[in-house]
Amino acid sequence: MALAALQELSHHYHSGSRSIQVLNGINLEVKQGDFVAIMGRSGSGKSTLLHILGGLLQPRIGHYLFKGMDVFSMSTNEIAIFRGKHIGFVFQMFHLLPEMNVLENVKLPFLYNNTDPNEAESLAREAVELTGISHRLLHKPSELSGGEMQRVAIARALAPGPELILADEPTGNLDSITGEEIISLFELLNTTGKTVVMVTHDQRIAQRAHIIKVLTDGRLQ
Amino acid sequence: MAAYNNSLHLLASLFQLAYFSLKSHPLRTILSLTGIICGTAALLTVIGLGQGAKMEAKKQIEKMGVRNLFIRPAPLTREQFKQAGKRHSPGLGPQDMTILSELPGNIIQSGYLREIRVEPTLPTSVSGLKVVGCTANYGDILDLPLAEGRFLAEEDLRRKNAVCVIGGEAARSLAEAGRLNAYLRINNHLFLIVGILERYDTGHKESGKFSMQNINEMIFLPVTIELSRPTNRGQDLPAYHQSELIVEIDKVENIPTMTKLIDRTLSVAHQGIKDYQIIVPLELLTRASEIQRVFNMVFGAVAAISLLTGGIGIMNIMLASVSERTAEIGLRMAVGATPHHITIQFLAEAALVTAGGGVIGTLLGIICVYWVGYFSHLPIHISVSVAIIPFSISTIIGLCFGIIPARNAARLDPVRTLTG
Ligand SMILES: Nc1ncnc2c1ncn2[C@@H]1O[C@H](COP(=O)(O)OP(=O)(O)OP(=O)(O)O)[C@@H](O)[C@H]1O
Ligand SMILES: [Mg+2]
Repeated sequence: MALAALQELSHHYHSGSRSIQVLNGINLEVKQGDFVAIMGRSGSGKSTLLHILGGLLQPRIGHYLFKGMDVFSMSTNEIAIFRGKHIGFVFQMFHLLPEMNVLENVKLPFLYNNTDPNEAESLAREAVELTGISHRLLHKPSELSGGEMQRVAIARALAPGPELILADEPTGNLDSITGEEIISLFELLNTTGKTVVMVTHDQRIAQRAHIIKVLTDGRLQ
Repeated sequence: MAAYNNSLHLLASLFQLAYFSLKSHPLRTILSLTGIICGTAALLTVIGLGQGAKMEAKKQIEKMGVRNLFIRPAPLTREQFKQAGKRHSPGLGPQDMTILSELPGNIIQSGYLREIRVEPTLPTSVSGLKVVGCTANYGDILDLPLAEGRFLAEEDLRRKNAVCVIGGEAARSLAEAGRLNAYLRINNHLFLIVGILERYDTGHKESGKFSMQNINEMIFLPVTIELSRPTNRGQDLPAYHQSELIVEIDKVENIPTMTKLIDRTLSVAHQGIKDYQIIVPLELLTRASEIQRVFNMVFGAVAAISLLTGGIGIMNIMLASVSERTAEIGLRMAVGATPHHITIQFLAEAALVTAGGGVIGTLLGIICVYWVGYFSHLPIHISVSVAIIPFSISTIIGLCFGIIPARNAARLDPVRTLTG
């Protein structure tokens, strides 16, 4: 069974009186252990698709089944819990909280999913270890390089043990060598069994994934 | 069990977040705290003074006795004074008591008291003492508590016994001369002290407002005794200058009709001269609480407005806090925070500011109340139940004003906050 399956998904934005059709009849199946890269021109709807996969957007046209659960029929509360439990997000802009140190940032998701503080602590430390940023545990984000910040963000996505990691241009703000390192990290995660869906418009980065999908005119190829 | 602990931990963490957020903007926090502090302190001061005045008035009036009517001489204008002379109105006197005793049976008893002008033969240290003549039931009507001995008796009045009862303060200032069974010299007569009153708790200096006579400093003689007039040169005041008639009515319900009846009877007896006034403690009580109510409303409104301003201040910083942290809110939602979590996190900020401001404001208010009481000599009253009111009101206001920004935060679209 597919981990995440989109069927005949469509989505449009309203911008004033006009309506922009961004996604138009998307069918996508992501299996457990897949490493998928989604490519496409700027404005083609890659981020929109990723947000839908992560439960940040609920278009309600078409179907989205995650491990058999109907994601589009979830309430606002249910979908928040769904995100916390099954999805790990990695953003281009890292989105670390500036007043918290590395460990506190990584522990953030545990605040909302009823985890025992001691357990949260050890899971966070494990994730930090895995992403290779354990030497910066008590540093604030402002004291880190871009690559280091992205490692912290990946650790945060990883720590609660989600099935699906969604990354929106995770190397977009990094130089090519650092970007390589981050992609290697995703590959490592994938070999440990994590399912990864990554948006990028860098051909070389996309080559590292097992499956490449291209978004054009609202459809996936 | 574990889930309970966790939700407690979550709540603690959200409050901690709120605390850090407040701490990272000290100026903003202090400004919004100030509003709440001032509002709470103002409200508490108003309540403390209001309660004090109310309790003081009640105490005074209850001391007079709710079922008693007080009839006292009224100050006359020059014109009225001439009229009184022409029409031979004798002024308020013991004869009025006789007249009233003939009225229907709603009057239980009536007592009379008048001031006696004395020559300064008492030691100078006690020159403030007032010598009065009164009926034997005067002590009974006013429930005057005896420390030693007895009050004046009917027998004393009938036989014109040279005895006296002295007030507690009088006994203290007379010292050796003010013992039971000692003799007191007044206008060249010797009076045997047969009773000493307990010192009345007059409470405040202001007590004279309601009770014309300070019982503590009085020396009571049988009213039937006529002392030779002091050799005072000229300007004799009318004989009824300081006198008082107390009428005890059987039931509170009968007070209004009896007041009217007594007024009409006295008016006839005094040839239509309004040289007396009837004081009804019950009316004073209602009037006092009426005044109290207006006072509370006006000053309460002022205090409420200042609290409202405090609430608006809270809303202001929270709106700023929310709009400044949209990205953070979006991220929290992305990692699993429900709208509920976001609401609580921001509401916790409002709760901390109002609770903190409320506590400081309450302490400040207590200091204010005592300070105002100390300098103005106004009666004050503070208790836990009084102190808790402004605190609760400020907390409720803070939460009411905090809920709007908190809900705004919870309704943010996570996608927009993360990409915008
Ligand atoms: N909230 C919105 N309201 C209106 N239009 C939107 C909104 N969000 C996105 N769009 C539009 O939808 C289209 C797809 O946006 P999306 O962000 O998914 O593209 P993208 O493929 O991620 O682009 P990029 O590579 O630049 O990140 C764009 O034309 C964008 O202008
Ligand atoms: Mg994008």
